[in-house]
Amino acid sequence: MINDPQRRPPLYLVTGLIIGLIAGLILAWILWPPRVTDVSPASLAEPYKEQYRLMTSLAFAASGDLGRGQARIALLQDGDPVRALTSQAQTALANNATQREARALAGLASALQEFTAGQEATAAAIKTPDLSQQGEVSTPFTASAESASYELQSQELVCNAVDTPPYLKIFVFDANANPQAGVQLDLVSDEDSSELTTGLHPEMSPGYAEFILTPRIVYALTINSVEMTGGIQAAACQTESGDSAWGSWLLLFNAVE
Amino acid sequence: MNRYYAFGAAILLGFLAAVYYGWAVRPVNIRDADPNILREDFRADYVLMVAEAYTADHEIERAIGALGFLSKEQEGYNPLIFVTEAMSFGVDEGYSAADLELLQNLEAALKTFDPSFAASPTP
Repeated sequence: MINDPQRRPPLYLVTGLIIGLIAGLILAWILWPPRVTDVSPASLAEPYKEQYRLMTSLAFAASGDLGRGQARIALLQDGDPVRALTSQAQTALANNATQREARALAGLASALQEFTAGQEATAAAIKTPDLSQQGEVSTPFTASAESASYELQSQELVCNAVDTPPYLKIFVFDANANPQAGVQLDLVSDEDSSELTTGLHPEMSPGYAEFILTPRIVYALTINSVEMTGGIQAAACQTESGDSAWGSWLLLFNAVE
Repeated sequence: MNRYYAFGAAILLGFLAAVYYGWAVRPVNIRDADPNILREDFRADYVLMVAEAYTADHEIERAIGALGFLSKEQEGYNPLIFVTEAMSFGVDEGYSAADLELLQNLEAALKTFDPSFAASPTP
């Protein structure tokens, strides 16, 4: 092999380049970073993000404009906007002086969650059912797991109005029979999985959560990752006036000590 | 001697390239920023949110407190400035008449609540 000194790479040039790059990056990123203006809400410190979230919720409570509320919340780039709103609502709920704020935050969280659920539900979910064509729907509930920290206290199919979709309405109570907010519920089907949290509808109850069932899909409900019930399906029923309608399943859970 | 010049030129070249990269191509990520450096459109939209909320509750002191979010000053700030700026931005950017009316209502309420706000429109 011929070792020709004329063809050696100019290492001193590479070394100089690296020294310059390092010095330049130290200057640009550490010693003298560019003066930043014109940031987006995503760059705000967390306490300011909370204030931005709160104002978005209060504005939504005033205007009812979900599209605008959704766009504003998206600016914060929260990983899970509904959870961020719910968490902040629960903090506000603990303070008597911020009940209005809690309602506004929970209201926006609920609207966002319903919007997402509504997108996922098929058009059939809001079409009034034909009882004659509805196949037999099994009684939904199976036994709770032994390790469950909640037990199913009651189940009821409520048949009120013809123009409502098939709701699953859940109330969760603690061991002292007080409504329990912040309980994580999961509805799992073969096709999908949806997360619910109690407390998003404080006007109903702090322990309340709801979900629109998609007909012909069978769900299983878990509370805090423990399966409580299975075989939950949308069920048709007859109102008092004899009209066919989707019924709403009403489930009450109590914490077990 | 030429080598020394070339070495210096390489350092200079690397330095300039790195400064350009660090300032223009990939500046440091901003986290934990203060609201007073929000971009103008976000500031205006925040003021609009305050105006929307004010329309529902008519609590001007609450609105003044909420506008303080945009201020560097902890005390003695003039909330009217933010509303005026937002209105100006809204007119330029074609906000809807309904949104401009919300801002006008808030502006009027601030002037009524404390006439000194209107008397000192500069920061």
